[in-house]
Amino acid sequence: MKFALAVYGAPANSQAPQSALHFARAVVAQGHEIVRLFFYQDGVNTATAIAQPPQDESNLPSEWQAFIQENQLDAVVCIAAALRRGVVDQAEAGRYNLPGHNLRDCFELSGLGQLLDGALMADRFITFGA
Amino acid sequence: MSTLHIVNKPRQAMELCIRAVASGDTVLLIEDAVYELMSSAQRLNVLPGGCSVCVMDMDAKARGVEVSAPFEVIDYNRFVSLCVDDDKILSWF
Repeated sequence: MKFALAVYGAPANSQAPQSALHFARAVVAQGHEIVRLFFYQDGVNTATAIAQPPQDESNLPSEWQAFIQENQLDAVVCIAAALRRGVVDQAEAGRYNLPGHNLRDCFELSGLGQLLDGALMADRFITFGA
Repeated sequence: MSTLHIVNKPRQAMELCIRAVASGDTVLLIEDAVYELMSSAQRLNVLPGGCSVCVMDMDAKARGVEVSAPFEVIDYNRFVSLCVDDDKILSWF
């Protein structure tokens, strides 16, 4: 069965990225397919490469990256939500003349249409709210 | 045609969910929604007949919330199975 997941909460102030990762691991373990991950609203902070949580806490952006790369998943970050929160890739940093970029390699900035596309492609669409 | 309702917060999210629950649906409490089991408001008692309520094990344990019958304690593997079994899934947050 095809799953699409949306994550609306940030690692630092919501359990959504943690719950979604537990869920995504179980989806893959059962042999289902994840056709789209979509990070929206504060959830875009899951894709930053420069957050450094204390060493005795889980590093969710890093864990998500490892999971996405291991399973070669399509992980989309809402570009409008990301730009307003300072999560940018190299192209956007160049476009807006920003001093740096911080989007992790496995994520892609794109529009809200990818959320709808994911919901249409998948048999099951699950939202992890903030 | 049954629906899985995923609730991740107590109080208002739970109240909104209950307004939409139909007979035969499943309600899954995750994250802070597990506190509904300790609430004196007893919102879970007004669910229509034939509804089952599941509680995420690790979220209940993390908060010191005890789960007893008729509530079903589940893990993430069962969560995925619930998503497969129900054809619609709604999140309340």
